[in-house]
Amino acid sequence: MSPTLPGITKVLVANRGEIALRVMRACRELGLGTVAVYSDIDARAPHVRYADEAYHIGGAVSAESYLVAEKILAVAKQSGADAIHPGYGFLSENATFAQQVQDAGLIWVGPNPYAITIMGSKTESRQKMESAGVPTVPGVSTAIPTAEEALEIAETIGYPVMLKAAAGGGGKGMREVTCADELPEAFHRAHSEAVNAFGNGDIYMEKRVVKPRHVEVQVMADAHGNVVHVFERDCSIQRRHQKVVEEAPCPVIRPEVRDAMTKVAVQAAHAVNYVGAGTVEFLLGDDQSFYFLEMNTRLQVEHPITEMITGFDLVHEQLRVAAGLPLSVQQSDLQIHGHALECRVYAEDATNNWAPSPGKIAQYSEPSGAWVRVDSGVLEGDEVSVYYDPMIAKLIVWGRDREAAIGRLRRALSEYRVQGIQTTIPFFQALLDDPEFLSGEYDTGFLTPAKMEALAPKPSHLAVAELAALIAQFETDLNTKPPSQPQATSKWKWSYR
Amino acid sequence: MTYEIEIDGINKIFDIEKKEKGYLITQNGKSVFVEKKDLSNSVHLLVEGKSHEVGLAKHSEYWEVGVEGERFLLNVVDPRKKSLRMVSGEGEGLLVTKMPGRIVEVCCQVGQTVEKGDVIIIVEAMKMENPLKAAKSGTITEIYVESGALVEAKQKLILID
Repeated sequence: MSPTLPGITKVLVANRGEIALRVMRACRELGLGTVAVYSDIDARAPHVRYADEAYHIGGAVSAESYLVAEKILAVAKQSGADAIHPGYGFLSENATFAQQVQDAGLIWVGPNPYAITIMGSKTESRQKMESAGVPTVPGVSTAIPTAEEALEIAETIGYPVMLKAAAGGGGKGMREVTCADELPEAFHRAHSEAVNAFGNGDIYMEKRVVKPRHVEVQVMADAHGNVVHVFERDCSIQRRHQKVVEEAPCPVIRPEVRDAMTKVAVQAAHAVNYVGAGTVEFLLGDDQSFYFLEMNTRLQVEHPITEMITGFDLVHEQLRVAAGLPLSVQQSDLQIHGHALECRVYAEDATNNWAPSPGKIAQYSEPSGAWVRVDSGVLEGDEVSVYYDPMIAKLIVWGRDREAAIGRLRRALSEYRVQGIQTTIPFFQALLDDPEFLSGEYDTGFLTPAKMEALAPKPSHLAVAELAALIAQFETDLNTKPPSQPQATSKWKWSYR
Repeated sequence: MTYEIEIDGINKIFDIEKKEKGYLITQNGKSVFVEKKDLSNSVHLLVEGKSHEVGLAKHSEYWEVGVEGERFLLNVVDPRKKSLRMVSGEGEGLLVTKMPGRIVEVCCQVGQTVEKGDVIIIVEAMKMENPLKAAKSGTITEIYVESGALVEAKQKLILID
């Protein structure tokens, strides 16, 4: 198959796991070659096996491999790749890297470095959005140098407040503070996490909106000044400020609020001359007021639910606009059809305060069937290491309405089998029986300790499990018993044992 | 053959007998007939005609069983061997890692007295910093790790006396 995009024949995917596979699949669909990069412990990872070419770039620690711009650029040169797709995380929101890619004469599948820089700094993006007429949460948008000054600012804003890393994302370097006593410790932890995660310890503060939902708008823009939105996603089910379950559309947003929010999101993209896929995140209050939170200048983990309700392939479109083509759709071509949900399957024990559960995946079998999509980055026998994100897969389903989608998600979860590590699957099963979740009336504070207790899985298949374990133990004991007459066994047979 | 399975502090006694086509399992005077087939990465059970595909993995001290998304860790013990097992451990004064990770900071010194709930060490795992607290009040008698060290699961960190 001949390539279909001008200037792109081979794409280097500077990532690992499920998102690397997601991007490589899109490349294959478009007739483009794929190049993988991998660290020591990812030598046999699924993204490496899937790619047309694969290059080793260093140690297991991200800072020695997936975060080293020079190594990735060297692989691009060596392999003859003409474009780099960064996925999410790692270097995806690193403006310096984006610039280096462009300076090397390569196509960067992402927005221009200017947009990344502005939106990557929570303080600058806030100022920019305010001047573009986008509503923002009350707070201080400049870096706070000391815990003492943080205390003073918190007094004027009023508790509760949120501390956030200026360079942050994904909940790292983020802390909620409800009173002055908690602030110094929280400030130091947020600072330390931010330094380790982003190399930048700047912390700013804003007022905590009470009972907010996290609603975000997908936008897509080309290099010719066209921007469309692809509606919203609700990502309010969170633990430690990281998303666990997402759904589209938002089950409670009023149509006129959706219109206003999507319009503002398009405005935000225009304000930074945005190109490619981006997400404008908002807090939606229970009075349906909304405030700009941040813009993620990359593909999101939860992008598939938007694809499911619109039939619009976001990765194809990213590659198209990166090649300089105009958007393949107009706003009026995009419609919401039905409802989609995504569960992030983490290697974590939800009932034990979401403790990581790394280890070897002894057995692995994914659900399938109509309108079920699994984006995963693991195979049976793989090791879930402590070096990378604990998310092993995303389970995405579609239904003609929310109820149908939830029923399908329940069915799919019952088919999912992961042995060897603890996952969040039992938690999702309990969540899908929770009346509040089913009603759609929830906010980002949904998963309180009390709720987590109520959601403790109530297994209904213990009796079957006991029988299975019993037989397995019995068979093991039968097989390990010494033979009753060892003399009668030939020496040849012994050597086979 | 008789086995014990302990669930939530209650010991259940099972009798299992191999038959030509399966197993006869008796618990509390009730018997069920179970046919088992090994599949490539799971087992299939027919329990009195009811069909179940079950994931099964052997760990050193327990069986991990997966049924319809649910996961169970079951310790199946031969009661005759049970008396041989020993109880060990220093109790709640010994802080042990739950998972592999990296020591960010040791926040105490040997000889220091700590209160229950004091943060005594910070461990990073999967990119999150987790402050670990003293499980009891007492004196720090031993610190087994240094800042920056990589630790395995179940590794000793700090001993409080």
